[in-house]
Amino acid sequence: MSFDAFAQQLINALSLGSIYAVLALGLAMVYSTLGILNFAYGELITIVGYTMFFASEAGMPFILMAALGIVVAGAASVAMQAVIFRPLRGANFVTLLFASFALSQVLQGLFRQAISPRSKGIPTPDLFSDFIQIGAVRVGVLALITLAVALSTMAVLLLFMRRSRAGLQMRAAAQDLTTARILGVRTDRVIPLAFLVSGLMAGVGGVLWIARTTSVNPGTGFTPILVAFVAIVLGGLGSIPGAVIGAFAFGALEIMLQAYLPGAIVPFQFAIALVAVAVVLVVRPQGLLGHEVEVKV
Amino acid sequence: MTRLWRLSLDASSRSALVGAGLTALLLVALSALLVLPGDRGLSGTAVVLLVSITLVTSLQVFIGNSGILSFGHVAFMGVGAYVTALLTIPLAIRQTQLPDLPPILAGIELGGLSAVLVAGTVCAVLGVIVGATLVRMPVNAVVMATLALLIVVFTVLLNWQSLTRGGQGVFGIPRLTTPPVALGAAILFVVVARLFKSSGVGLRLRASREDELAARAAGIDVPRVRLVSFTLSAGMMGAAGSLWALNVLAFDPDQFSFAMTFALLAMLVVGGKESVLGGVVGAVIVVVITELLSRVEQGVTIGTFELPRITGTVQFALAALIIASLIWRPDGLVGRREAEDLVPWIRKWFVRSRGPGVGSVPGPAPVPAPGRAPLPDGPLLTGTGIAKAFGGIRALAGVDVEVRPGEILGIIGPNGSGKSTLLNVLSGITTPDAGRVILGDEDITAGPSHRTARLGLTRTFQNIRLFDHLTVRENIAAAHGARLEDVDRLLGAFDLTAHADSAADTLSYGQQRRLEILRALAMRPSVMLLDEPAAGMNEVESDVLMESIRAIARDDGCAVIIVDHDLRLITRLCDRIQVLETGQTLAVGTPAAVVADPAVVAAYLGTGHGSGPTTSTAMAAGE
Amino acid sequence: MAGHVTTGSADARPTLEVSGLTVRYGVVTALAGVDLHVLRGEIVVVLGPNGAGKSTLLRTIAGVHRPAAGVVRLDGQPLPAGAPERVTRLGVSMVPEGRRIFGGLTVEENLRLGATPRPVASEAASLTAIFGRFPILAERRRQMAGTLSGGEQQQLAIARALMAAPRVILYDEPSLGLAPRIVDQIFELIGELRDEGVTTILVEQNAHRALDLGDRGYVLSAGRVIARGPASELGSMDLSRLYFGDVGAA
Repeated sequence: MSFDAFAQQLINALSLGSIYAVLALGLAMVYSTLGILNFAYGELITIVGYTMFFASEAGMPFILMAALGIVVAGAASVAMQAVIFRPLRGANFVTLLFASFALSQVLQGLFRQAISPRSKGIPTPDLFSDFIQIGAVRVGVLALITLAVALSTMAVLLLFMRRSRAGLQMRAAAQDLTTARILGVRTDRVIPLAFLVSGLMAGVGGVLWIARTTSVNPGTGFTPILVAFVAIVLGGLGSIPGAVIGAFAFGALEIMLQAYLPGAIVPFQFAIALVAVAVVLVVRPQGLLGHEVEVKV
Repeated sequence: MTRLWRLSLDASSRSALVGAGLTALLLVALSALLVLPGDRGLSGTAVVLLVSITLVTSLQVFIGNSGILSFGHVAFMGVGAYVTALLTIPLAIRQTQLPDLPPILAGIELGGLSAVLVAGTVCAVLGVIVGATLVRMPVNAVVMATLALLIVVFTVLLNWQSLTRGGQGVFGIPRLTTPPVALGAAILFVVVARLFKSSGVGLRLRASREDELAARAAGIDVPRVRLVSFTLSAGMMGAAGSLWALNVLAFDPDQFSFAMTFALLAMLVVGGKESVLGGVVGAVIVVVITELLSRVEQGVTIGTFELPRITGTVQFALAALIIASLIWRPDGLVGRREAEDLVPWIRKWFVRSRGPGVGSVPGPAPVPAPGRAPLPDGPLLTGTGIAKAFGGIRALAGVDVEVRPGEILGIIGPNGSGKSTLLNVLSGITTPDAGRVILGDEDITAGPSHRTARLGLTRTFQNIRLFDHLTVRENIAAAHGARLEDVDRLLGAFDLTAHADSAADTLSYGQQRRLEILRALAMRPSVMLLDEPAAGMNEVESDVLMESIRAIARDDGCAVIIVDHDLRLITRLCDRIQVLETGQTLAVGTPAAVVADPAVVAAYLGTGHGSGPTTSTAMAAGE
Repeated sequence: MAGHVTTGSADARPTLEVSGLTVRYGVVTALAGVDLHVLRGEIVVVLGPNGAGKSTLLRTIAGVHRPAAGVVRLDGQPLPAGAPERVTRLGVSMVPEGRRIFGGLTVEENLRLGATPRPVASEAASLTAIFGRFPILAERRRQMAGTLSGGEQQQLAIARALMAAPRVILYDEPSLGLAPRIVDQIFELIGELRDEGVTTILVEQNAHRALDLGDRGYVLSAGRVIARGPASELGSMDLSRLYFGDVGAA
């Protein structure tokens, strides 16, 4: 394959991987603080989509639609915590997973009934379909923007976690919640905060996803979220850098399969990617960056 | 006659059959209620209900017994349904729908029973292949993996146009699931599920659900029992999917995705996932709600509706019901009880029919284990140079330990000295960074813990790990190598016969400790590790415990290694004491010698002004 | 023997008072009706063999466990149960058993965390003061806390508790796993803090050292107080007997 075709695919892979990484980080945020995998996280993306749809109907420019979508996603995530996760505090992993699954079904049903089961188109700026020339390579503008936005978001998150008091408290709570409480960290502030950050990440990831797919339907959030889950498990449950690496790895895998698989098999690309991940997990059950923990008997 | 019946099956299988029979009666009653009036719509509902029961029961076999939430079983339903479609659609219709079928499939036409059997078998084979990979993953990852399974199969069904017609779906399947067929199938599935649950494999699987670590330490090969139930469940799901297809007559891949998964899981959550009856009750509730709400939605009495097409109000109601159940009745409506548990006089009959319990023997008199191979003369268990670090913290830094038959070795040391880690290494739960552990002739350094247990080294745990919701009897019977005759005698010897059929978590603290020791003893070990067995006991209880342990070592020739903080107990009970401090052995010897050792006293009491060595010298001189 | 703090006006009412404290974990009773009190500026030592309930006692005071019965009072007001973050805000800090520092955070970050109950503005000043007192920590401020030696981690844990400017400090086995020379340093520090007016409860296995330093002591066994009194009195008791029991075949 020629160099510029390869470079193009590489940019695509990075771009897609960066969306997955933002989403995976959002999921990992809640998982590392609370040990919960929020199944309804995908619905946040769908919420972003519908928010943007209604905003576009109201005539808002894209940038405002995006901003609104992000804010609404954050608020929705905090609402989820208050309505579902707080009453079920202390329940085991499976119960919480199932409750969030139930929530996601409710929301999907809501979208189907209250809005429409059909896809709604969302207008995106013409700019996104352009290409620019960098040296010998033709690169999509959207891919570049996606990469830029995703990377800056991750940088902002990093700054927040490392520099702010709240971020420090969240990191401490993720490592040892009880000791954090002994030092005065308030869980009734840290937990909703974790959900808020998680929601904002879903918001950014969702905007980038919608910019790519230009439409929304009740099931929109499903595929990207599944990838985020897979990325986290692949990277190692509990490892934040692992989530990012897992996400990029999956994005690359998906693009490469898409580019190189014979046409008849292309629809199966996602399935194949999943099987590949399963194989990795059999060989290394704790994921790429997961670590051994002392067993408390 | 009854005596013959009593002898031919053991108690738990009898219980299972009676329970299944009662549940079957319930099903017959429900069917009669719906079918006898002769209304087409109600008969249709009856079939839907009974088919749903076969589906949920198949799912319950895996989820209920293993405790692992599987999102992927509907994939097997889909495969079973499509296999059935390809085998039963009349040839002419099949030709028009799927012109590109391979000749074998294009030409064969089977009857209902054959199709169901083929579907079940195909799915069982698929189940073994998928299951073999799944059971090796940690539990949280398994849940995600089953989700992936669902997606993968759905994608295949949707895209393999030549075989499935993709999104357009298939039609023309003959209606072979009549009410009597559905009823028969539902009853059969319930019987199979009950028998599995009470079988040896089912018991061991349920033990692993209660406490995986303890199950492994009791010699249970957890991945294997999970695989067996996954395979059975997959096969049953395929057969149920087949029955479903032979009722709905036409379907497309969308049926085998989240809506169906959700509905089935809802039935389990609402009814009670650990009980076969729970699944049945859950199915009744969900179908009734779906039926009522569909009618409300459409405003008109309609004939057959299709359960999978849950939309709108029905889905909300189900989701709300699930969330409410999770908050207020997390164990489901029926909880863990089966049909025979709900009818009190049946329960009593069972307990009576087991025969009069052994009279309560005051004080312990453990059972010598007949038929165990004679023990060697030298050390039974030798650990050399054991070292283990956890992320920078050195828990053990080169510890040697050895114990001989009939010997009681006490291991003591301040907090953080490495005692728990040492026990974990010896029992195969933790693999050391360096050093070896030899039991008899076998190198057990790498474990895994179930192998170590089977080779004759068993243990108890610091934070009692029982199979909480299993009965006392089941707790012991689940252990690998536990023999039924031993179980009753052991219960009597440790004064627990009266509680044999009570759940383990209803016992008092002291009884729970004894039960844990019994479970370890039932495996007829050559070495037993006891981790703080006297913790929380008062003086009387710990004296009784001391006697039991002494008797075990003396009568059985079993070696006992005991870790405890009750230094009074340790110094009076043990033949030798080993003192650990910061991961190394500080002293080893007889109790008198160790207690007199100034280094040991310093480790416990600290050096400094005031009474130190003087006092212990006085003690050693024999006051 | 350690010096008594003779304050001019001895406070009659105890700063911290534990009455009838009973704590259960499931079926196990960890503490059974424990009474204890600490006067202002005192060091009270709590001794006893492992499993006696010493840690449970401290953790219950700190609010980690909810007692089944009994109450803990600070200056006469009951402390909230099950809410450690509120207890810290009221001026009671704990240095947990095994230090429990956040290995994945830097020394400075650990210290900043300690200042959580206090306003952000005061953080910088507190940090400077702490670094002044603990030069080793100042040296290692940007290092990951997990790479510090045992003694340094113990200093960090204490410094972290101090960042909250507490009135009462609870120490849970500070000498655990430390070399004797380091233990000397730690105990010296504890003494200094007491001299500066911090009321102290010290749980220790290292009985003699602790009694050297403390004013009064309690001995716990199996969840009950089996001995109490001035440190000097306890120091001359036969603690070995209490701990080890009678040696010899039964």
